[in-house]
Amino acid sequence: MAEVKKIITVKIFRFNPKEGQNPKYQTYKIPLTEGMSVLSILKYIYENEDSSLAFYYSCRIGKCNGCYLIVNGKIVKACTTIVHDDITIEPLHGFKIIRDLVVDLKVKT
Amino acid sequence: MIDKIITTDVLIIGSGGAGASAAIKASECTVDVTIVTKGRMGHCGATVTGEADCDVDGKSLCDFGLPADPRDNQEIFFEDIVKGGKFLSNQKLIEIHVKEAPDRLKELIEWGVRIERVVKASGHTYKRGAIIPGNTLMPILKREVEKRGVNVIEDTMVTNLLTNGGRVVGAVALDIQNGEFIVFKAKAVIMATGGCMGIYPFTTAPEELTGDGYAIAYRAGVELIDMEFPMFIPGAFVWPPALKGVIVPFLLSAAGEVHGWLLNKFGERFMERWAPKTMEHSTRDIVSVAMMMEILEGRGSPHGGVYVSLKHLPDNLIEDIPNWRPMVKDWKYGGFDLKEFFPLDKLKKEAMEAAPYCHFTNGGIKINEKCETNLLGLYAAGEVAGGIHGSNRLSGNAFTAMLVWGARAGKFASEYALKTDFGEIDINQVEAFKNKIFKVFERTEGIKPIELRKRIQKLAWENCGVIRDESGLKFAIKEIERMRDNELPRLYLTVKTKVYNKEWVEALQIDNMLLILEMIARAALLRTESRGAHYRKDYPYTDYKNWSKNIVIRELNGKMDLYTQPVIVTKLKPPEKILPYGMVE
Ligand SMILES: Cc1cc2nc3c(=O)[nH]c(=O)nc-3n(C[C@H](O)[C@H](O)[C@H](O)COP(=O)(O)OP(=O)(O)OC[C@H]3O[C@@H](n4cnc5c(N)ncnc54)[C@H](O)[C@@H]3O)c2cc1C
Repeated sequence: MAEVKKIITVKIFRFNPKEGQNPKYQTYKIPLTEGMSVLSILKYIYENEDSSLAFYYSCRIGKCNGCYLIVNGKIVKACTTIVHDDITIEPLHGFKIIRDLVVDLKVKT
Repeated sequence: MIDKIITTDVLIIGSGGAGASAAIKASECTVDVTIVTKGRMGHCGATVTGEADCDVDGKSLCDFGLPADPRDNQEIFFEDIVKGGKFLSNQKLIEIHVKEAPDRLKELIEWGVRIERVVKASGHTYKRGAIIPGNTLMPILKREVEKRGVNVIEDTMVTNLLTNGGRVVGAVALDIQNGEFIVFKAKAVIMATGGCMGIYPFTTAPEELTGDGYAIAYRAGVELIDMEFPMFIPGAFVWPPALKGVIVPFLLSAAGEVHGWLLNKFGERFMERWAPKTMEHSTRDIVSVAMMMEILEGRGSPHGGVYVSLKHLPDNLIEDIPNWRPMVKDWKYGGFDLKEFFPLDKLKKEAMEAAPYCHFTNGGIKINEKCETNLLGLYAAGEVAGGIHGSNRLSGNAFTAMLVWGARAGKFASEYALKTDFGEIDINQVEAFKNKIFKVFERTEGIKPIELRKRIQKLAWENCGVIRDESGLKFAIKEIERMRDNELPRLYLTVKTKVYNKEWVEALQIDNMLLILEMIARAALLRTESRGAHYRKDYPYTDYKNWSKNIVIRELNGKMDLYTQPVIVTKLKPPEKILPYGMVE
């Protein structure tokens, strides 16, 4: 089955403005198997490590354009971006943050 | 108690192709229209994911100047749908379906949709699939919706319909962005929430499609039909993780394109045992059953699928595929760069691994020709509606259904709304629904939503999936009852925020998933034959003689009640025979 290649460090932006929590980065140690996407990592965290992580996605297969994020400073789709090493994940810049990685695309800042 | 009240003449639940089509048509009447959607319009639902063929009879396609076959016509299209659905479609609906499909396509062309190709998929006598990728269609539909001033409310999950005196008067919902409880007052409601593929662990569809609309309607006393027929597609990648849910490009291709060979772990091309003539190009139901049998009987591949091999092709042909095959242009597919996982050189030597994935829901809310349900003021359209596809949908016919029936729901719901007043909201009902949504926060220990979701999905896959039998289904029903009585009431949230709490949404979805799984299991147990997307290992023949009837599900005295009704036939009578599964006639 899927063999763990290595443990990577995933640094994620966390922020809950509505409930008065300040922005911070949280790090997770994740067992990386071959062929995992940024979305696979986020889902792994949500299911196994920390269910409080907020992120938006729908189709998982590169079609809906719902999961754009900033990964290592670049705008990418979480589902089609394959992870090979440590990463930093942030929400899209320039929009109002609802919580963590979820932004309100209708409200520009 | 109520954070927000929104009043609208017509409320549409769901923002996919059906919801959008309904909104556009409803706006032609002088009524105000609101769409509410669990995700974000244009970025959720199955519509955006379609590759996608959209069926219209060949003659009409030729009339639009498209490359199709003029020998085809609406009669033949009608026959293919009825035969493909193995004679369980409501033929009154199909007559309208084939007749109005060209009108909808014409509209799309006027709105700027461009069709470059027409394909012939299995089950179709002629080429009918006008290729309209969902992610180019949806932005156009969204633009048309916005042009008409429709109010679109996103990130909001409807949990119940409000009823009073035997009619629908609105709905209640949770605003996922801030945890607010919303009451919609509406004269008419259109359910367009899509399918329930998310109850299976392996699905090609967005995971948020947990069949909420079926459950919401059922709880309001609405009847559902053909629920034993969730459809599986052969197949999607089981490896690598990032490609899970992505359809393997060499399995579902149209006629005349390159096909992979399906092999089990002994290297046998097992389709020979099922369909020696059509092999891998057989209809989706048969290929799915064949693949699943290999997997269940231990002849599968290491990651839980079977092998898909291109090795029968010469090397230079494999190298050439990305040059002529539109779906895998530049060896990119659905946004993925296949070079990362399957460089062409590797495909000359190695097979891919695929399994059947849940792709579509054939059955759904029972509607008549006007998209009316048995609850006054409630309409349904798109994948959530049942009766069109019978036991198995033809490729490309879901897009047609969503456009034709979406528009019809919009038309009839708005006409009804014009001559109706707002009904009285029953405040006790509102309160009860609100309590149910917020109840999970009260518990501090118990079962986590993710755990229960996984258990439901495992049960769905193993006992109510591609292959079924009596003992498995009976076991599933017992388990469902146990989960409903002992586990659902113990759900608790580890996350307490009311702001975009995914665990909370998951808990609300689970309630629906379990109810729908019960519908599937009970209907599948009752249907003692195999037909289309329903395969019973213990009854491996299609009993046209005794089982050419639909199973209807409803709530009766607090219990799930099933009854059968004769199929509505206008032209094409089911055969009187009992045939081995897979034979058309
Ligand atoms: C990968 C894939 C490929 C496909 N390819 C084809 C193809 O080539 N040809 C074809 O004909 N068909 C295809 N289909 C099927 C087709 O895409 C769907 O049947 C069709 O798009 C359904 O449209 P819809 O509007 O009914 O539902 P959807 O597009 O699924 O929309 C449902 C909407 O309801 C919303 N919703 C759900 N629950 C709630 C709730 N509780 N509250 C509020 N909103 C809610 C969702 O967020 C979404 O907006 C494909 C499906 C998949 C998954």
